[in-house]
Amino acid sequence: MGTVRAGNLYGTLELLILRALELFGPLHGVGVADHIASRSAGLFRVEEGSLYPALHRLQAKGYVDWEWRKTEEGKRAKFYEITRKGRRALSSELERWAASTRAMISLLEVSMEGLK
Amino acid sequence: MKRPRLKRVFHIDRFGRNLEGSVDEEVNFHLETRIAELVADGRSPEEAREEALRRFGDLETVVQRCRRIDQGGLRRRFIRELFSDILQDVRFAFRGLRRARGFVFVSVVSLAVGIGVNAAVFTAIHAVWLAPVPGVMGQDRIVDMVPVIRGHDYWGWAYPDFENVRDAETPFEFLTAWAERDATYGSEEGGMRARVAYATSEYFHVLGAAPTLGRGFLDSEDGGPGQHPVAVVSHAFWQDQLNGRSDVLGQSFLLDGIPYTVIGVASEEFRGARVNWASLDMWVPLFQHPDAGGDESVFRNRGRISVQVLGRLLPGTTISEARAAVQTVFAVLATEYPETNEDRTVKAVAFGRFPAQNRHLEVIAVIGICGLFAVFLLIICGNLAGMALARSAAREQEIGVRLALGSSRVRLVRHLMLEAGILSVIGGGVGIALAMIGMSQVHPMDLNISAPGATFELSGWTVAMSLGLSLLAALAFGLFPALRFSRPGLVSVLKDDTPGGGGRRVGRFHRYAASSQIGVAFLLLLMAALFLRSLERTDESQIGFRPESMAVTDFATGGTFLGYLDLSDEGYPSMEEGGSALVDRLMESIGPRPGVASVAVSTGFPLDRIRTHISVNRADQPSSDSVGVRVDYTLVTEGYFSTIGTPILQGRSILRTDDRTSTPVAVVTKSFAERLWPGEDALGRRFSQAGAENRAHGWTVVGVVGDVASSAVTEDLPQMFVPLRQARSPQLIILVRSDTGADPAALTGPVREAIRSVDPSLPVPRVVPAQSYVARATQGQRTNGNVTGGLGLLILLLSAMGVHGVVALAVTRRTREFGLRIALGATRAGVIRGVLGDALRMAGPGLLAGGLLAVGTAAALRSLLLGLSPVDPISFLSTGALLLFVVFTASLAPALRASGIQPMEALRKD
Repeated sequence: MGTVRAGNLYGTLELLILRALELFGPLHGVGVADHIASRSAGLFRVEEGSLYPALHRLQAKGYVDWEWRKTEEGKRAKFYEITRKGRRALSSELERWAASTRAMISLLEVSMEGLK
Repeated sequence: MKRPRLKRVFHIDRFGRNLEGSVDEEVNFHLETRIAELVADGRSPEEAREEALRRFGDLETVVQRCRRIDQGGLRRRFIRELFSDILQDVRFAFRGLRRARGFVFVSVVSLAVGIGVNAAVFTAIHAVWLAPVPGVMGQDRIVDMVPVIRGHDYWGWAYPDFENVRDAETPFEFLTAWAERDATYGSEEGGMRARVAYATSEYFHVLGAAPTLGRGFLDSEDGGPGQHPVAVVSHAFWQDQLNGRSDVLGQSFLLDGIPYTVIGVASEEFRGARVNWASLDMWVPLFQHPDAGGDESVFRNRGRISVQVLGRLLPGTTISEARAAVQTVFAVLATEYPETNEDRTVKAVAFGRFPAQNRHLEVIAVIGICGLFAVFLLIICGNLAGMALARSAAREQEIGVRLALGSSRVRLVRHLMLEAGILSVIGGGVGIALAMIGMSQVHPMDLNISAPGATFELSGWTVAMSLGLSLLAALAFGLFPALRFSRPGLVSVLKDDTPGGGGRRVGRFHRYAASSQIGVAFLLLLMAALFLRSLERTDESQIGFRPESMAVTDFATGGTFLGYLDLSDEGYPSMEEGGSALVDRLMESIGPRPGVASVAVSTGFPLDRIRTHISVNRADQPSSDSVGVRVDYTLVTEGYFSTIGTPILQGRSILRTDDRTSTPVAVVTKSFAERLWPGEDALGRRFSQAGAENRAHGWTVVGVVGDVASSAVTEDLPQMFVPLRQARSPQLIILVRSDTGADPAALTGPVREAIRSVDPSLPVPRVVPAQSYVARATQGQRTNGNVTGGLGLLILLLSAMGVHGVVALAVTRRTREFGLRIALGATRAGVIRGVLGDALRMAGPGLLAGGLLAVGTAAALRSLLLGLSPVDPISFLSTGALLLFVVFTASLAPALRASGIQPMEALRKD
C-alpha cells in the first residue's frame, strides 16, 4: 500500500500534498506548490517539478482524482481533488506521523535532560 | 456503489487518449503561470523563463516519470477492475444459484453422472490401452513387429527370418526375439510351474529394462543349445521362491531338471514385454529352449512360427524407416525361400499395451467407446441446456432490464457462462470423485475386459481429460442459453406480458432434450433388464451340468485361469509314453477315496473359460463345400459325464477301452448332432476336421449327450468329446464329484494324497469347487446388469426431472389459455388429459428411439445375453411400463395445477 513514510522525502511530499488538497482542494499543481511553500515558510525547499510525479503517484493510487477545468483567468488546468480513499490514508498517516513525532520529541527532551 | 460502467469506460478512454498530451499541458500550465508571476514582478520575459525553469528542476525527467506513473496506474487499474468485475459476477452467479436449489441439484447430479461415467471410461481406457508397459523404459522408441502371412496378422516369426533381419542393415539399435513357455521349477518336493521367457541377448536392451541386480544376457550366451543355463529372475520370483536373499546372484535352481545359475534380478515393475495374465517368472537365453537343439530345432525351421520380435530404434530414425528396411529383407527372403516365405511380410507398429495384431480394430473400439459415452454426456448437457433455457426464460424480464440499462452483452454472456461453469466444475468434481471411488472397487476382469496386469487407477491424464470434459460440458449447456438471452433483440421482452414467455423454440429444444434423455434411460434400463434376465439362464437347466458337489484341480501357482498338469513336464511326454498309464493310476487312486463319488480326467470342463475350438465337417461331405462347423473340443476319460452331471441321451459314454488301439470315437452334444445331421440319427455317423485331407482321421459318433455349456457362458457352441487315451494331449485337469450333499472342497486332502501316492514328484494342485468357476463365468453379466441398471435409474431420475420441468414450464406459459378454456367450459379432467397427453407425445419419440437402439445393441451383444432374445418381451414390457409410469408421475403435478387454474385470475394476470 502506498503509505506515506516519515523520513522519506517523497513520502513527506505526498503527505503534504494530500494535506493541502484536503484543506484547500481542488487545486492545480501550481496551487499545491504555493500552499506548501507558504505554509512551510520555506522549510521545504523542493524543486517544484518534483511535485508532479508525486501528484501522479497519488493519482495512480486513487488517493486523488482530477479534472481539467478553467482557472479564474480562463486557462485550462488540471485540478486535483482528494478522494475518500485519500482522506482515509491521510488521516491514518497523520496519526502515525503525530505519534512518532510525539515519541521523538519526548525522547529528545529526556535525553536533553539527561545531559544537563 | 460502483460508477456506471459507461462512465468508467469513457473515463479510462479519455485518460488513455490524452495521456501523452496531458502531462505536457500540465507542466506548460505550471511554467506559464510562474513566468507570468515573475514578469508581473518586473522581470524580463527571458529572465522569468529561466527562473521558472530553474525552480522547476529537470523538466524532461519530471515529464517522463509522470508518464510512466500514469501508464502503470492505468494498467493496474484496468486489471483490478476486470478482476473485481469477474469476482462480482462469480458472487452474483452463486447468489443466483442459491435461489435455484432444484436446478443446481439436478445439474450437479446430471453432470456428476455424465462426467463420472466418462472419467470411469477414461480410466479403463487408460489402464487397458494407454498406460505405459510397466518397467519398460523409452517405450516410444520400441517397435513391435507383426508378421503378416497371406494377409493375416500372426503372433510371431519364424526364427531364421529374425536372424536375417538382425544381420541386415536396419535402423535398429537392438533387436530381440523371444519365446515364452511354462517350465517346471523344481526342488525335490514336487515341482512348480514357472513362466519362462527364452530370449536373445538384446532383450533387456530393447526393453530398456536392465536388471536391478546383476546383469542381463551376453552376446556370447546366444546360440549353443543348452550351453548357457543362466537366468534373470523376476522381482516377485526372487522374493517368493528365492527368499529375496541379497546373495542370490550365483545361486542355482532346477528348471526342467537342469541347474540354472541366477545372473540377475529384474526390476520390481517389469513383467515382460507383453502385459499378460501369466506374468513372467524368469528369463533365460533363447537357446535354452527345450526345442532348440539338434537338426529338428524349431529355431532352424523357417516354416514354424516360434518367436516374437521387438526392436529399439537408433536415435534419429523413424518407425517407417524400420518398416521399409524389414520389409526389404522379407522381400528378399520371399524370393530366396518361396516355399515358406512367399506372401510373408512384416508390419511395424509402435510398441505399447495395444496388441500389435489387428490393432486398428482395437483403436476403432476405443474411439467407439469414447464416442458412445460422449454422446451420453451430450444428451445430459442437452437436457441441462433445456432447463437452463427454461430458467432464463423465467428471467427474461430481468435480463431485458439489465440489457436496457446498459449491461454489456459480453458481461451477460459471461455471467450466464459462469453459472454453467460453476455447476460443471462442481458436477465434474463430484463425478471424478465418484469415478475414483467406484473404479477402485472394480477389477478389469469384472468388466470382461481382457487387460492383464491393468489396474484402474485414476491418473493425471484421466483427471485432466475429465476436467476438460466438464468445461466442454459447461460450454455445451451454458453457451446456447447465454447467447440466446443476451441477444439485443430480446429487449422486446420488456413489452411481453407473458410470464416465462420464452417463445416456442425454447420449449421445443427442451422437449427434444428431455425426450432423448428418456430414450437413454429406456435404453440403459432395457439393457440392464436383458443382462439380469440372461443370468437366469445360467441355472442348472440352462448350463447343462451340475457344478454343485463337483471340484476341479488347479495346478497353477496363482492367477486367473485354471492351471493344467503338464505331463510332458513331469516325465510323461505323451499319452503313449506313460501318460495313459499315469491317468489310469490317478483315477484308480482317487476313485475309491472316501467322499469321492466319481472321477474323470480331461482337458477342460464347462465354463472353464479356456477355449479349444475346431471346425468339423460330416465325413460324407466334401470339405470344399463348407468351411465347417465350429465346435468346442474336449478330451475326456470315462466317467466324465457322470462327474459333471450331464445326461447321456443316446448311445454310450466314453469308455476306458477307447484307446489308441481302438477306432477313434466321439460323443457329441444334442445341438452338435442336430447341426451336422438335422433330423437324422447321429449314432454311428462319421465326421472329421474341416480341411483335413485324410478322411481316415475322422471320428465315429458313439453317443449323444444333453447340451452343456462350453468354455464361456457367452458362447453357445456345439461340443464334441473325444477319448483322452486316443489323443496325445499331455495337459490335463482332474475332475471329481463328491458324495451328494458333501462339500466338494473337502476333497482337497484325499485328491492330494492320491496324487502323491501315484507319483511324489507331481505338483500338488489346489482343489477348487466348480461352483466358483460358474460364479466367475457369470460375473460379467452381473456387473454389466448392475452398472447399466444403476446408470439407467440415475438417468431415469434425471429425465423425470426434465419431464417435470418441461411440462411445468408449458403449463405456466399456457396459464391464460387454460384459464380461457376452463372459462369456456372445458372440464378439469379434460385439462389434465391434455397435459398428460402432451407429456406422452413428448416422451414418445425418445422411447421409440431408445427401444430401437436397445434392440440394436442387444443384437450386437447377443452372445452376452446367453441366448436371450434381444426383443425379450418381459424386459421390454416391464421397462416400458416403468418409463411411462415415470413420465406420467412427473407430469401429474403440473397437470393438476393446470386443472386448478381459476379462469378469472388467469385472465386478469399480466
